Amino acid sequence: MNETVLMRSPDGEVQEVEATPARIVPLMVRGWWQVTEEEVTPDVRRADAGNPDLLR
Amino acid sequence: MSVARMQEIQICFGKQKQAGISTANTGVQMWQLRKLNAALANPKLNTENDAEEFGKGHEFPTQSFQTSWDVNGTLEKYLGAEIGAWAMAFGLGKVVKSGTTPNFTYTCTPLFPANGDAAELPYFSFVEQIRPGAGVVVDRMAVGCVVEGWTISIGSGPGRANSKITVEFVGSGKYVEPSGITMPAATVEKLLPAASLALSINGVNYVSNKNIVSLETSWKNNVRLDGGFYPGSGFQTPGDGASGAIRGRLEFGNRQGTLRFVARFENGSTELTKLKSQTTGTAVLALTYDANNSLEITWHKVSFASAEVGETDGIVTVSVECLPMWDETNGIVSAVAKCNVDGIAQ
Repeated sequence: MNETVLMRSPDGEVQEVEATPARIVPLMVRGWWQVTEEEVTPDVRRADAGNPDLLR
Repeated sequence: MSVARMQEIQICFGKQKQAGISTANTGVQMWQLRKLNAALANPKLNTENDAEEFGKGHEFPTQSFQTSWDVNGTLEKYLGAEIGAWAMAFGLGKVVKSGTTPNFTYTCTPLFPANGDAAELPYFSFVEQIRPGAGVVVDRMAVGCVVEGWTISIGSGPGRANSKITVEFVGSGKYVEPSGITMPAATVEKLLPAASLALSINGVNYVSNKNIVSLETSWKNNVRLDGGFYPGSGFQTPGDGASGAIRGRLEFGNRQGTLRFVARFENGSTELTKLKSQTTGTAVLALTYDANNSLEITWHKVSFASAEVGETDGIVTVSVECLPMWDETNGIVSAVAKCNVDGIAQ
């Protein structure tokens, strides 16, 4: 398993990506930033995050 | 008192970035590295006077005013994995850290405000000391510094001087004297010697064909120094309007990257052909100490802006100036720096 890092897009989307320049650099250029586990709550990392039904 | 000699100068600076332009690094966030140049990062006080004001009855000044502060400095060093990582991270501005000890990897790119990035570079504090304490000669800390630019020079020859880095930095003007910093132990640096170079430019491997003679690559941020002074940017002594203004931000201007090299020119050399056809390709240079300490810089799209045939030590050579260009996928430049130091620019 290759090492991964967490990246967040300018729109707030979080992806876990392989820590290789080929994967990271294009994202960095498009405004993505590295975030830590602590900055990403479990809810935000779930595929259904943002579903307002979950907040009711 | 005995004379103070420049060999005594010790410097340390922020390995980690400051929380903000005015929040100085603490001692544990700093590292001590050695340098080659004697120049000091002197705080410079700019003054004005009232010579041009009417009502005095003459043209001579009667008062002088502290108006603003400047700080700038230069670090000249043999290129090592640690300073390479630091210069890329602070000089380009955007960093992704991966890996664990002893192999931390810093992937660095420039900041692009058009894609939501900041226009301010990461800040660090810079400390100079000669005999700090009771017999102090120099002990001060410049707060809120950014990397103005870096230049890496690779030459031919056996010595360490054939692989050097020069880092220029500028400061907000704020300084603290005495610094209050206990100099950390010197960091053991891993040299990235010229003999370790791997170099491929525009489809040619200049190391395997044994043709590279010298190389220089640089990045310049052209920091907007005057733009740092804005209404409310602050004073050297907070609340004291007579203590001279300091900058409240340091933003990069129109940035420039350069890559130039000299290679042996022989039958089949393609530099002139590629100049005429404006062929584009990547330029990748890598320097390595070992598997855990290295620096790789990639200019993602370059063409040749000029190529002149000349001579070096009696050998026919070609001197090439590359034009780094924007690549739609990877931008202008990226650097992957590996070293056994955690937390650089974090």
